[in-house]
Amino acid sequence: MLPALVVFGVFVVAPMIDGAWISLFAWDGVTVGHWVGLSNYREALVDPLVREAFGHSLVLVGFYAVLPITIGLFLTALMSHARVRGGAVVRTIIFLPQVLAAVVVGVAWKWLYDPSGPINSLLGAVGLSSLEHSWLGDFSTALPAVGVIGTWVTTGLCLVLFVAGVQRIPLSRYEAARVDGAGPVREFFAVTLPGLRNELAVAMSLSVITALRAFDIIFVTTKGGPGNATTVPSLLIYQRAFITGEVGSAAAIGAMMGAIILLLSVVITRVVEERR
Amino acid sequence: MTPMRPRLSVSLACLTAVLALSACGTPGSSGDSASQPSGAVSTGFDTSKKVTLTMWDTENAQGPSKAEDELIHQFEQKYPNVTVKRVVKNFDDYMATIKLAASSSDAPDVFQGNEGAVDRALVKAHLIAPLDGYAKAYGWDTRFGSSAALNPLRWSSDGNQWGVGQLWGIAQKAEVVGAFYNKATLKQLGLQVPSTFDQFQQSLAVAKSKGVPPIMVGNLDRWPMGHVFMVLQARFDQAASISNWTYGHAGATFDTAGTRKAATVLQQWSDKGYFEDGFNGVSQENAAARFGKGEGLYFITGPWQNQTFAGPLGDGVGFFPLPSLDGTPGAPTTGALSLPFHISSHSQNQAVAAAFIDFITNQNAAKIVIGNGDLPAANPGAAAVDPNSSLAAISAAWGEKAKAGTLTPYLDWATPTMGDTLFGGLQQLSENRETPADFAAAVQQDWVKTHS
Repeated sequence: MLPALVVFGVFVVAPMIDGAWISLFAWDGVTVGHWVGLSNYREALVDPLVREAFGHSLVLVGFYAVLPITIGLFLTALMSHARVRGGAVVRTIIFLPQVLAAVVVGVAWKWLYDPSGPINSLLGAVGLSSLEHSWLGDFSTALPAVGVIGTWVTTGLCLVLFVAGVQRIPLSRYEAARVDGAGPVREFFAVTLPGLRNELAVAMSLSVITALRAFDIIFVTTKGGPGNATTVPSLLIYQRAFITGEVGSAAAIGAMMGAIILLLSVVITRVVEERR
Repeated sequence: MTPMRPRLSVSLACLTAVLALSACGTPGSSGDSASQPSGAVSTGFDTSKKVTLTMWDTENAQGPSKAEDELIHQFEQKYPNVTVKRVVKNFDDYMATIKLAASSSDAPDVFQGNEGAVDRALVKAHLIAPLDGYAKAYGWDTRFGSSAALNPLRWSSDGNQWGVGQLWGIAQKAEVVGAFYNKATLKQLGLQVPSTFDQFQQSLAVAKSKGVPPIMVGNLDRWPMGHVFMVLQARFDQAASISNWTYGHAGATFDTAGTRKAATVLQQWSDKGYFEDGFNGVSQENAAARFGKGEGLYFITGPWQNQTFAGPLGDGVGFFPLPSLDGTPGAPTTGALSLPFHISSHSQNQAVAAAFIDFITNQNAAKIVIGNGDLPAANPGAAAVDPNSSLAAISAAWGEKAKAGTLTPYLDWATPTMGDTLFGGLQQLSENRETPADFAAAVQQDWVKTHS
């Protein structure tokens, strides 16, 4: 336990405390900083850009967590009910995005979304050219477009978790449900969903955290634009820490984000996992 | 007491120790004072002593990188006692790490900075050495056309005033923003190279009416429209007003009639469809590649894109600085010396470093740079490049503006956050989500936050 604790202390706890300490300074990263107490936090809380960024995070939770979990559950219900031929292949394909580097995913989707890219070409080919769009360049579609990439990435993780979980549910429960005359829908809500509580908690924690600290895909595709339409907190942290020399402010936003993620993880585990 | 307790308390003690170690003084107070060159300097150095110079740069594109390697090789041949160790990174990685590298105990001797926030921080933290003595000894003050060309590299020694004071770096390359054009397309449309701004706008209308995208631009990257706006602003506003504002001189404002007019024109161009379809969702790389394949009439950008176009199109691509309203030649336009080379104030070999940056920025270096397809800051001489090429036109434009001292600086230098404010604002403006007046006011608000 001791070595683990030392490693954890040096590489996780100490930098965290260092970060929290820096958040109390106005510091450009190079010259000597000066103490400003909590004013980095106060400024972040009233900064409309920071608020907007956290708002976008909330939208991304829908795309990174809610949608993948819903899709994952739906596919699990389908797969557990009927023996789908080639189910393992389907699972592998859906899981594949998880294995790819986020930068690769971002570059690939940037190309898909290009105004003269495959998505618009496809729409044009099937006579829906009125729906053709500058997906990442339009203020109203940029955030959902980025969100869909997240959905594409996280769905596989949720599905694999759920399919593994379903296999642990005793068959007798399904038989009992059928004896009671439950249809596929009743069976899902009465047997499958309650049996997946633990997996649901894990999937929710992981995907919500991924949503809140989303950075790589947005950095590669839109850099927060157009305007500020896809700006998220981690992007602000990067910009302020490394580009604009507002390291204190970056550390403050980081600390706030860390606190929110910690709080949400605790809540999710408590609510979903414990209530049996 | 259970047997677990002592071990746990040891662990906790260790954790506390770790925390105590990380306990943090005021960030940034490393405190060692830098050595400054004293008195008069000369151009020589001790050529018997073995010396290793470390150089950091971000010339990672193929042509420019080859030019650096060639120059280093030549320098090492000339001075066999010197070895140059080169570290090269792409632009984003470089700019995110250079300040940290410069402030570390084994900082590189020679490295590129960036006009604006990066250089300000380097000067303020005393991480780079002033070069006025070397500039006089080596003749750098007259190497790049008018001495005004060096203004973006001058700072007061506390880093608070820009454009005046001591000289902190010199550049190998230069940039001037203008319009690349497809010569064949221009001819097909029955047009000639425009000599007034009105003619330029007419050519946009003609291209649009004939189904040719008038201006190719990939604004997904946010900054490309910034350059379009800057050259427009240089048509409609006073050059001095733009410079004063960018350098943060007291009382300057962005919110002028000229700026609003430039923003209005940009918005009109967007409304009329003069930019390629969906430009806010196209990456600049993609747009440039398609222009290189012959799509579109104009591409407004700087020499760093020259190879992307001249590679496939050869002499089929041309370049001109945007014409002024009344067509008088020599009108102000956006451009500057490219990323400057600095000498670390911690370097033990400043005299060698000075000889080195002299060597990579002189006329011989200029020939090698232009030979690798990029625009050198020093004059390479007319013989160095094919007179029909776009590079020759760019070089001529740079030479003319640098000599006349009519270059206007990049606006995103003005404050550390200006890139975001300006480029985000232009995306809003181009999609009609912001009026020119609101745009100008928002940009000025960012400026006031830093310069008041």
